[in-house]
Amino acid sequence: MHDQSPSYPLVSLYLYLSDQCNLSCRHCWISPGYSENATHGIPLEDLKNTILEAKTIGLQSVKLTGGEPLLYRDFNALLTFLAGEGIAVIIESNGTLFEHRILETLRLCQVDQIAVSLDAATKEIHDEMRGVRGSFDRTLQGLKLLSEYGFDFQIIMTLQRRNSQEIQGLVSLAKELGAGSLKINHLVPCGRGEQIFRNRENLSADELILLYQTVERERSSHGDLDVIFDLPVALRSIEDIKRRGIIECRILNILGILANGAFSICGIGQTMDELRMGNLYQDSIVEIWQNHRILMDLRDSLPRQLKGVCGNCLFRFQCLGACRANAYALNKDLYAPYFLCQESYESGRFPVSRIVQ
Amino acid sequence: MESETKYRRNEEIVFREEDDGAFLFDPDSGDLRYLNQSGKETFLLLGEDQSMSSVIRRMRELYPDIDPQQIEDDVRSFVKDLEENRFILT
Repeated sequence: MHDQSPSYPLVSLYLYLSDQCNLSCRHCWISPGYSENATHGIPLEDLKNTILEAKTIGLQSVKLTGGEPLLYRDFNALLTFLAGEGIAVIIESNGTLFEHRILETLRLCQVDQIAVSLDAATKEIHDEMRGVRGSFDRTLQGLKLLSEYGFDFQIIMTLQRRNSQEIQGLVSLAKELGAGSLKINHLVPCGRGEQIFRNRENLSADELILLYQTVERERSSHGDLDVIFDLPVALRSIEDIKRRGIIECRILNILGILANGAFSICGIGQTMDELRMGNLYQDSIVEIWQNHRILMDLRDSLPRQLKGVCGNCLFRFQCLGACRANAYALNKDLYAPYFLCQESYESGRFPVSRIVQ
Repeated sequence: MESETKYRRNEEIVFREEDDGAFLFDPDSGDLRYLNQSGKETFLLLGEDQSMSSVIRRMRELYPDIDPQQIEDDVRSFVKDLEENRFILT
């Protein structure tokens, strides 16, 4: 019998529905293959069975991502199934494939959140970052459709040197399009992002903190648009923490399923084979969740085994070291410090008041 | 009587002051509290081994424009929460 009341409920599944994408972003941490065509991915029945099994250990929401999740052949049928099961749905998409039929399904299924990547308000910069000419126009078209259908959507930009001057333009564009929020993600040195760091086209921790402070100062000019600058909580202002709370990866309550059916702590298994934990074709998700050594080790060790500045951070119990997948990708160590926090600590910018020996 | 109870900080709790507030952190449980400016001031007064009534009196002096009853209600509720969670001791 499976334990029906686990101490670590599996609250959310991240479904990497397709290992293909119709864009070729220079910074993508998942590094999917390029394809314009619909992909088969996991057979819908197998996915449904795994989701139903996951409900017995606490599943409440799924994030549909990829690659581009809309390339998944059974995307609409999956949405309908999830809505029928009362599971909250978050979609991360590049927005280029939205059309009326999909949007009707999204509306019928009352999808909770739709996030669309848009890296710049300038067409040339976005297209260059996304690796496909014309992607800006296609994404803009998708965003306009979302707006037309009345969705409260989020725009996500991935910040690096080449689009660091685009924030204000994106704030204006997001307001014009009727977005509910603009999320500014920092680039991670993972997947294709690694090369951007090697070329020093990323922003340093110091530069990110300065930009964050500028955005915070200008908050009153953003009107109803919620501008979310994604930094680890220790680097955020007390005012921002008070306003938004501590929002970090809930690594102890999520599980990823890759397009090939493999389980992983998130999408990191796409590039790090050793972080794969069985496969839904052969393994029970409940067994994996309750007994796999990687997950058990994380539960035993976070946050107490965190190293570097993360091990001495005031927020370590809430933050759990920001992104553990990224720590592993960089250091082959799930407990290594988060690179931005460690970098800011070494440059003297990490707030002294937030270090506890 | 409650008003004569003296409060002191739990020495195991980490108090970190910042420009616009402060944090209380229990390194054992990981419990973390954000304090706004008036919460910070109240906590600092509690650290001086003061009674509830003296803390309320001092806070009324610091915030003369705020309704005195509101201040008393806020301080009592704040202190109750801190005490229940062992951030302060009697």
